[in-house]
Amino acid sequence: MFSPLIDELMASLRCLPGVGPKSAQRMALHLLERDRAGAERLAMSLQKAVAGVGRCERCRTLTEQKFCGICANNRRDNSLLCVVETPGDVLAIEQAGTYQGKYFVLLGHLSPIDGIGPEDIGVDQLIKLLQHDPGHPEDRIREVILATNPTVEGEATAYYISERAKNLNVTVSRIAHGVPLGGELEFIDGGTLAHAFSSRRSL
Amino acid sequence: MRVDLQPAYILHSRPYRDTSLLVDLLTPDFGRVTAIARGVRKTKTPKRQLLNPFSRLLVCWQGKTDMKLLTSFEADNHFLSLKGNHLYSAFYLNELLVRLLPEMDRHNGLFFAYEQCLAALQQELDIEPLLRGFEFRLLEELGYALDFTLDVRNGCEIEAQGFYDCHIQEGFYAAAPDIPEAYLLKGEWILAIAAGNYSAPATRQAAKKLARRMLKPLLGSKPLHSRELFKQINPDN
Repeated sequence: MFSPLIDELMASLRCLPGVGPKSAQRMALHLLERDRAGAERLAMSLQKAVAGVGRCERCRTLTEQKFCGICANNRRDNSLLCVVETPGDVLAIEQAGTYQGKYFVLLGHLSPIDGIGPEDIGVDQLIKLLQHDPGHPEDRIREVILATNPTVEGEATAYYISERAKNLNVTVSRIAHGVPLGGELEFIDGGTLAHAFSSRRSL
Repeated sequence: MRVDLQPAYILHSRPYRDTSLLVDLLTPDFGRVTAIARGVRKTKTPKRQLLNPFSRLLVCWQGKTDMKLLTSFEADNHFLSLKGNHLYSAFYLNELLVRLLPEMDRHNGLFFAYEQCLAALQQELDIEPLLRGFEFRLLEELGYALDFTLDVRNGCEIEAQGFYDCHIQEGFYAAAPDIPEAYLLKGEWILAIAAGNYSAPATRQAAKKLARRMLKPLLGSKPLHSRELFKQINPDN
C-alpha cells in the first residue's frame, strides 16, 4: 500500500522488541508526518551507536570507551567483583545503590540444550581477570559475588564459575534468594518459599 | 484436541516471538510435547517462573498439529533444587530426551523413570548408576532394549567368564577374537549392570562406554553439550 521506502522503514522498525506490523506503521507515519527532526536525530544516533559501541575490555558491558564508566572509576572497590548476566542487571544493582565494587557481565548464561557453553559467556576472560596481578595488593580481587539469575541456568552458570575459580585463592559467594521484602508469605510461590527455608540462617 | 490437567515436567523452554515461550514437556500420557505458552514473557509474573526446567506442573493444552497451545498451567507443589554436578546431570537427562524422544510418542514408563531419577539427583545420590539406569531405560523405550542376560547369537545365557560384544540392533554376543579392546565386555560386567550393581569401577567404566556406544548412532554427529560441560568441570571423568 505504501511506497517502497516507507515499507522498508516499517519492516526495519519491526526488529524492535514488542513492535508488530501495526505499531511499526504508527511509528513510521509519526516520524515522517510529524517529527522529521526527531527522525533525523534517531537515524544519526542509531548510526553512531552501532558503529561506536563495543564492549568494555574489562567487564564486557556495552560501552564505546575502552573501559566503561564503572571499571574506569578509581573510587570503587577493586577487590570486589560482581558477576551478572546482562547490562540490565548492572543497572538494577547500581540503582539499589549499596554495592561499591566492580562488575563482570557475562551477556548470557550457560544453557547446554541451546548449545551455549562457557566460551560463549566469556568465562575464560573472567578467570584471566581473577588471575591478573594488578601490582598493588589492595587492587587484587578478593571476592567474587555471583549474581546470576535464580533460574536453573543461572545456578548452572554460578556453579561452573565457582568450580573454575576454586583454586585461585578468591572467595566465591552467591547472592541470597528468598522471600521478597514487604511481601506476604501467603502469596509467595512454593519454590521460592522452599528455597528460603533451605537457606535460612540463624540469628 | 483438548488435554486437561496433565502432569508434565519442563524439559526446556526458549523464547518464541516477542512475549511467548516455546516449551518442551514430558508427560505420562503423551510423551514429549512441544507447546507455546503465549504472553508469559510480557510481565515478570510468577507464572513465568514456573516454566523453568525440572519443574513439575499440571498443564492444559489444545491443538492437534505439531504446535500446541498451552491454555493454562499451574505448579504441582513439587519443588526441586538441584545443585552442582547433580544439576548438570539433570540437564543431561533433558538434553537426551529433547534430542531422542519423538514428539507425541506415548512413553508412560519414561515419565516415572525420569521423575525417580530427578528425585534421586535431588537427594545427591551417586550419579553414575542413576544416569546409566536412565540411559538403558530410554533405549528400551525407544525400541532398543538390551537383554543383559542373553547371548543372542548363540541363544545361551551370558556367563561371567565370557567376553562379549554388543550391537544396538541385536544385543550381546560372544566377541570375535579380533574386536578392539575398547569394545570388549566381560560377562561379569554385563551381569553386574543387569543387577544394577555398579560398585566396581570396571563395571562403571564398561557401562558408561556401552551406553555411549549405544546412544551414539541415535544422537548423530552433534555433540551433547551437557556432557561437554560436565567434562570441563570434572576433567578426570
